[in-house]
Formats: sequence, C-alpha cells, structure tokens
Amino acid sequence: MEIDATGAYNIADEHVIDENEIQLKVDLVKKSIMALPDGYRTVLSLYLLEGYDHEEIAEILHVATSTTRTQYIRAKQKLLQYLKEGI
Amino acid sequence: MSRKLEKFISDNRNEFDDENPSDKVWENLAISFVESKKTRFILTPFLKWSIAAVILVTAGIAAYFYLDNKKQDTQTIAATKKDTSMDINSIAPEYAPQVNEFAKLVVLKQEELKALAPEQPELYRQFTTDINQLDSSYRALKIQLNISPNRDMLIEAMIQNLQLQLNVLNQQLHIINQIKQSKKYNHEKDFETI
Repeated sequence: MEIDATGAYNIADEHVIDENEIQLKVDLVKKSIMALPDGYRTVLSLYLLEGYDHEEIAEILHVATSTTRTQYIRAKQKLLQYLKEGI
Repeated sequence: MSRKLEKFISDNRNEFDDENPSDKVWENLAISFVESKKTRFILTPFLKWSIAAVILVTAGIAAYFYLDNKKQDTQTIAATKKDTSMDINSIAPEYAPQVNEFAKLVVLKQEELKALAPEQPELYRQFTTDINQLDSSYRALKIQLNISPNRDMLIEAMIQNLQLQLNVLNQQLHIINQIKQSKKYNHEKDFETI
C-alpha cells in the first residue's frame, strides 16, 4: 500500500534542512516569508517578528498550543526550504 | 533544532520593520468600531423599552395632575358656594334665600366669564385671582359665623361680600365685552381701510 506523499504523515521522512548550510540575507528571508502560505506566515511572523510566545499565539488564533508549535516548526522548515532552493 | 534563523531575525529585527499595514486595514477597523458603537445603542431593547416606559409614566402623571387641577378649578368655587348656602340654611334660615340668590348669581356670572376666558386668558387669570381673594374672605366670614355670637352682622357682611363679588364679576364681563368690541371695531376699521 502506497502512502500519499503529501500530508502530515511524512514530515519525519522529509529531509530536515540544516540552517547552518544556508547563508541568511535579510532581503531573501523577507521574500521567502512573503511566499509562505497564509497559515504558516501568520504563525511564523507572530513568533519571530512580533515576539509572541506559543501560548499567546494559540490564544490569538483560537487553537491549541501544540498546534502552533508544530505549525511553527513546519513554517520554519518551509522557509528554510525556500531559502535553500529558491522560491 | 538549530536556532540560527531566530537569532538572525532578532539580530536584524529593525530591517524587518519596513512593511506597514495599508491604510485600508485601519479603515476597516474604524468602520467596525463605529458599527459596534451603533449596534450597542440599537441592540439594547431593554434600554429602549425602559426609556419608553419612563416617558409614558411621566406623561401619565403629568396628564393626571393637569386634568385633576382643571376639574378642581371648576368644581371648587361652585362647591364652596353650595357648601355655604347649606350652612346658611341651617344657621340662619331667615337669610338663606337672599344668600342663595346671590351665590347662584355669582356662579352664573363666573360661568359666563369662563366662557369668554379663551379669548383673554391673561385677563381671565387676573380676574379669577381677584374673585378668589373675595371668596377666601367670604369663607373666613363663614367660619366665623359658626363661632361668633354676632350672627346678623356677619351674615350682612357675607351678603355684602357676595354683592361685591357680583359687582366685580359684572365689571369684568363689561371689560371683556368692551375689549371684544373694540377689537371687532378695529378689525372692521382695518377692513375698511383695506
């Protein structure tokens, strides 16, 4: 039985991008954030740019704290992917 | 998980601050504020009904007192007259017809005057205060009649008072009629000049 390649199952299987490999540039990071899907961008900008912690973000978005944590991790992975491979 | 990204962003925090929300965002917020304010006033039926109830109750009380006063105005004078005549009947039957006659005349004249009142409300008010003064002294006399031994003199004074009231009423009627006529005359003169 073949498992669908998309979806939440395969996050562990995905190649985890090492941040240290990537040269960070402000312009590029900004552009990558803009390119993120809305949900990811919301959590990521609330956490990184606005400085809320996960409890506060969970309250703002009316979701569980664990959800914001995973969403943030995925958003960050996506961002790093954009930065490494280009948008 | 490494935190290089977090560190990088916090180090370069200021450079991420160039994006400002568009004016449209604030406009939408302002509109929602106004709407919520409006709805707060509209969506309180309890407040609305309580205001309506307060107005209704106030108006009702005002109307009640107004009507009550009006009724009293018309009734008190006649009632007191009736009162005294009955008193007179029991205390001094020999004077009763005379007093009753005067009292009746006074009431009659007062009614006549009242009929003319709407034309001269200011004058009418003045007249009624005059009459009320006389009437109160009449009532004082009547009270004394019950206690005082000098009955005849008091009754004569009462009759004089009634006569005086009658005279005053006659004069008042005369004045009002004169005013009416002079008005009419002026009216006609105006008409003629036109």
